[in-house]
Amino acid sequence: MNYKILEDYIKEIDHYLVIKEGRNEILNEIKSHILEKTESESGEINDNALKAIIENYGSPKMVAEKYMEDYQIISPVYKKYLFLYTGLLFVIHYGLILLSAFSNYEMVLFPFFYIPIMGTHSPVWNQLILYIPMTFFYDFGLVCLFLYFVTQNKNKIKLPWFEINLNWLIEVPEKAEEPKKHILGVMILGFAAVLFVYLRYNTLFFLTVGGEKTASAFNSAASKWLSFSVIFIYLLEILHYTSRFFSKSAWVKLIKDGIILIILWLIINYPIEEALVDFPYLNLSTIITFALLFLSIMASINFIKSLIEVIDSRKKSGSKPI
Amino acid sequence: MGVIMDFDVGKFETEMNRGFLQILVLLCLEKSMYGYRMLSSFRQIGYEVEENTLYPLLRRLEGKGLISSKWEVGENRPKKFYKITAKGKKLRTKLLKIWKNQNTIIDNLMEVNDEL
Repeated sequence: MNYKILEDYIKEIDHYLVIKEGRNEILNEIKSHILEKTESESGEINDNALKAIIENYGSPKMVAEKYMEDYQIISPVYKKYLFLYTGLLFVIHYGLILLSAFSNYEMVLFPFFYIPIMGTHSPVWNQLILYIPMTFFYDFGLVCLFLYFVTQNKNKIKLPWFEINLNWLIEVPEKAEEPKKHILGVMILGFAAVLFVYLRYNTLFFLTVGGEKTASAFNSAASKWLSFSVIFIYLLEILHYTSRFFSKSAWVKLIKDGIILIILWLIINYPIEEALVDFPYLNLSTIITFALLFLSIMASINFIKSLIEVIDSRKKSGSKPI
Repeated sequence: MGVIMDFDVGKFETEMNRGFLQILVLLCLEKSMYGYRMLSSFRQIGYEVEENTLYPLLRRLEGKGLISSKWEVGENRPKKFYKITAKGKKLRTKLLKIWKNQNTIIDNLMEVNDEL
């Protein structure tokens, strides 16, 4: 005779039981035990008596777990590997995404990843920010899958381990002079002035020639984007100068110069000529092209100098990067 | 405070019982027996075991070839009977020796403590 309450209970245990061999035997044994115990303790088998015995036997999930105590999806010994491998994969993966975004190429490594050409549906920056969590979760899942197969594999597999010493990040001294509080003060005042101009005129790029009315040099979207870029670079410089009061790392300078270079790259890629407002007296397009060329060369030189400083400091300290 | 103490003892007891229950099962299965009967006989000698602990243990011991099983249709429903194997008997002898040795060590330590 079938008892629905018992059948439902057994069915739920079956759902949680991830065992290939002998599964039916386990379920039949539990069923037989519950029926015998009910009969023995209550004198007859009915739904109420079965319910009490089933409750005492334990929740289906817990019962199934007890049969799978030796079973692991991912071995706990791989916990450190999970984070290290995810970190390394993320750096490579996101690096390729950045490369793809700036070179305007799509990248495919079937079936592992596909990076489309960016900026077709929404701005590149938006997409790059969206890709940060997406890339992390994707890489985390990929490493989980890899470690799952390693755990399930019966052969002894020794996974490679990389010792990463992060001390180099804070120990490398920057060559620059001691920061001075009054210079920081002037920088902050300058920043306040720039902010004031932006808030007053909605742009940092305006022209007044021959007593005519002041006007923005670009249309409003371009003006906003370029003004924000300048404000961001200025802020970055202030933050870097402030950081020197606490840390003398050449790496911080290198990162700052790298970000500035990326911003300049984005500005160069912006269709500035289309955004220029017609202005009768000056060839703004040529002036801006030269200005950007000059700034890019300066930023590149700064970046290379920072890179040399880091390499130089590394050689002197005699430690290996990784 | 009392609750915390009971909880801690419970955890240690579970850990201790793991090995003890294995020896008990290997001793009990000298003659063929099924799960419910085994639990009843444990209860009679003053040892309470949860059913959801015993059956997975029986499966593990069977998987290691220490006990064997056979389904038999008794009075009205099929039951799975277990019996110790030759391999199980060998292990049982070794485990009993270890257990007796552990008891002696504990007794000796208790004596030393009493003298202090």
